[in-house]
Amino acid sequence: MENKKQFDQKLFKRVDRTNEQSDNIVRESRTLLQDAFRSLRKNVFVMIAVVVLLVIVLMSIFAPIFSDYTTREQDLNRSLLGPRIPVLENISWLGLDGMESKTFNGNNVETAKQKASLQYKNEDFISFDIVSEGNGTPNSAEVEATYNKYAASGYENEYFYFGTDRLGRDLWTRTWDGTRVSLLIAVVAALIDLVIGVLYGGIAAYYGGKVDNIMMRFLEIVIGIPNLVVVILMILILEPGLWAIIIALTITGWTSMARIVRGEILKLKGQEFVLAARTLGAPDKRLILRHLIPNVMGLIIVNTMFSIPSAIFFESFLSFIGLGLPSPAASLGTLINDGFAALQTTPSILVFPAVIISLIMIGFNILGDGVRDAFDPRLNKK
Amino acid sequence: MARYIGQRLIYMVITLFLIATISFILMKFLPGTPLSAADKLSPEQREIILESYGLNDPIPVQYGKYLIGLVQGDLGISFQFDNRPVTSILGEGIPASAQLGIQALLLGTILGVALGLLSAVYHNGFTDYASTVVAVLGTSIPSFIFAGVMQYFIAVKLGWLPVAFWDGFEYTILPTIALAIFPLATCARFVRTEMIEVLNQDYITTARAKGLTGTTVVFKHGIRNALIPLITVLGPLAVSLLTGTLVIEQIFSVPGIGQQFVSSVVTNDFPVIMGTTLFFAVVFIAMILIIDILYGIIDPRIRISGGK
Repeated sequence: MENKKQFDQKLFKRVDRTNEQSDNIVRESRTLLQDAFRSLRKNVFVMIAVVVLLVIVLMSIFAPIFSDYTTREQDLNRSLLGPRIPVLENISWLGLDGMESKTFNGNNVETAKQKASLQYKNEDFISFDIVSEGNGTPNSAEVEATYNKYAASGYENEYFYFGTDRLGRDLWTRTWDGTRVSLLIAVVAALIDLVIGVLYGGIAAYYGGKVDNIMMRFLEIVIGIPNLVVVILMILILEPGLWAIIIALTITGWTSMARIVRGEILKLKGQEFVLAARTLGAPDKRLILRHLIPNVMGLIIVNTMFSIPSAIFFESFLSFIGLGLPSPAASLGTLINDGFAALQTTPSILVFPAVIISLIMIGFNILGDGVRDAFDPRLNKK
Repeated sequence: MARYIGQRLIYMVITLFLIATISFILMKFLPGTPLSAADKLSPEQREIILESYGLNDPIPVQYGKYLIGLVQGDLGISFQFDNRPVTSILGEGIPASAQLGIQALLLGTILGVALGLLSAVYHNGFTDYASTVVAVLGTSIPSFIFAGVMQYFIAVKLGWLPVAFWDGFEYTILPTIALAIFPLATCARFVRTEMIEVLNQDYITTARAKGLTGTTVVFKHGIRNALIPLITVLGPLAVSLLTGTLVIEQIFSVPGIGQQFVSSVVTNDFPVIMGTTLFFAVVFIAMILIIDILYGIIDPRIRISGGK
């Protein structure tokens, strides 16, 4: 008690607080949504994911518009050119200079060079790097041949950022266009799932009793049918195309949303605030729109966040087994499929769409995890 | 429990019946007959062939025959493989697909569980972060991308393993790994969460307070309880493996059902498509049923609260 400090009374001023004042709300009250956004914004990984996804979305919209090439313009003279990007082409290890390099072996340097010349159309554009001189024994000499395919086919002034495919179509334009198509399919499918699922689950839970019973029995049967099977059957009867894929994805996709919404609304329905609202004479519409839906909002958003990447995966999966968009339309799935066809000779065709689809999937998964944590009141520490 | 299983079995039969009916209707809707391309047949010959396949019967009769055939395990006859019955074509593909699926499921769950346990025990340590990164990447990146990367670097560039085909164990390694990554990541994530929760329970503290060693606590008290809920994920995982085989078999040219399916899609071989689809449906549904029942048996709490 000795080190108790002595303060001058004059330093203090009495604050008069009436009861009314203490009831004043100083800070703005926050809704669940605002709260979730606040904790989301603090999450570094989520913010990185959002930025990456935004960049991909913007590129998918604007890159095809500002590109000098179209998605379907073919020219066999420029088929299978490597990726070439201005500025970056000067950094040789990136491999973005449009050059093709390969090592050739021979008994001596000359035979190795000859082998290289046979491989490429125009030997004027090959430059050699001698790795080892060799000593006359078979395949002891090794040269690295670099072939300037752009110059050889007369495109030395053009830049195909991601290269070209077998038919000479510009992959930069096709990749971003395909990204947009894939994102569009996923987002539309997720939104349709959302609407059907929320309505179905909401109606079943809200009216309960017999309605709920019948609707749930039907749902159980639909869930029992494996979605892979339904998706494939739907694609087979519908004309292949964008809508076929969207319909195929949504025909089973809404079930998980319906189940979640039903469970949550059943729980909420029994709570006092609903009873209070009902006692005050709120009509069904107001109860649903103002009291129930806002309370299941978090779950709905989280579920949608996860259904977008799974729709993107399913779309690319369908393209892979030959049920995707018909050519010349591109989606990430068809591009990856094309890339696999040329994997052993020109792996660069696969790299770009594969990286983009991976980034989209990782981005949405991180975002989904972040949103789920943000909406989880148990994790709301501050 | 018996009533629950009975109820589930009835649902299973209804679902299969629905799928069979839908696929029959679709087959009838599809344009053309198996003879559309055979121009050289005279009308009489055509008639005889249609008659012998029962394609002249009224649709309900055909439907009845189809259902009877299904019950007897007859899935029809393939268009593309010399009139061979679909069942024998399926029979050829099953061993390879099953081997791949089982290997991948074993590899994925064992490694995944180990990784999940490690990251829970060393919570917030380096192992934990590393395995979280693996889990995020593994659940996000599609298996065919992993397959492509491995095929290019391990098989084409380094030549350590065969690029594709099916001829002995070393041919199964790459496809198995590609398939196993998703279950691995999912298990790791799931086990980590469960284990962290279990390790924070009071009885673990009690065990520690009694002076048991760290390993005894983790292995005897922790793992047992953390692994029970894993059974619930195994069902969806096995289903995702089936989806994965379609693509992975295509990439590594494995002569399994997946590859047959894709080739029958390309050649419009509808009986094979429908047969494979039905087969997939049976496997899917049976797997989920088995896992639900197992779960009820292993975890008594489920039986009391949920099961009737």
